Amino acid sequence: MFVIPARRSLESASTIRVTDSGAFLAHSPAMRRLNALTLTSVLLVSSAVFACETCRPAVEAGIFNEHFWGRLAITLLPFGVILAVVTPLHFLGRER
Amino acid sequence: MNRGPLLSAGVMLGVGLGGFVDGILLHQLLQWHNMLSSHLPPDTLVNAKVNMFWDGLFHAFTWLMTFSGLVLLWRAGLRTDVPWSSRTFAGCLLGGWGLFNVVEGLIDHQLLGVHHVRTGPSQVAWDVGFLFFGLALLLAGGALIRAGRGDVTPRGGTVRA
Repeated sequence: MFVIPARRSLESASTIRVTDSGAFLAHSPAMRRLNALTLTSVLLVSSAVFACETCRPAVEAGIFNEHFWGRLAITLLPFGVILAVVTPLHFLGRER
Repeated sequence: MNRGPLLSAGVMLGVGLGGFVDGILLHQLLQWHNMLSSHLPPDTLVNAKVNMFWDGLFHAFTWLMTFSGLVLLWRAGLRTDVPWSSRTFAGCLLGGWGLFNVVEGLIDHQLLGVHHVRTGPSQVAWDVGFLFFGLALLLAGGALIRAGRGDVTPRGGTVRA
């Protein structure tokens, strides 16, 4: 859904280059600049940009909510237990 | 002789690398589970991205474990009282991976149920299999560490008593 407009623009950009073409237009610096400008403009106003604007607040709300600290503790707990096992190993490895 | 610094370095590296196997293989390539996939099923784009954040945090701490192991290994290599044993180190890598699987399996899968290895009708079998694989790694690692007791030469020198 988000990719389609950008893809369309790529297709149209290549179409323009082929149909207008002639080797001179397709490879001239002016044509290349125009292609790049067109592609950039279309990408900037494509729905992918707007999708991020509408999606990001929902994602942030899903992360930084009342469950955040509990979920952080859940994520860290195995590492804490592992450190509690490894730390004595470091100091108690002396033999002979 | 002090095997502790090499043991802790190897186990930390094993934990970190084992964590990356879990994160890269099971979270990303096979996409069997995410960090919170039992609490927050990744069935919408927002839920998938929230899970991605917690997966990222898991990977960040896994990276810290690996980095700490690397620092400990470097420091162990500079000491003259630490025997530089390939068998001990390989055993620690396996044991560390096993330790990660057992601890993570017991806490996240069995105790808290924040995710399962592969959610579905056979999830208990997958969770138990994950634990047994961890135990097998621990046993194999332990055997190698025991075998490495005979190695006494430190890196580039003789053992200081």
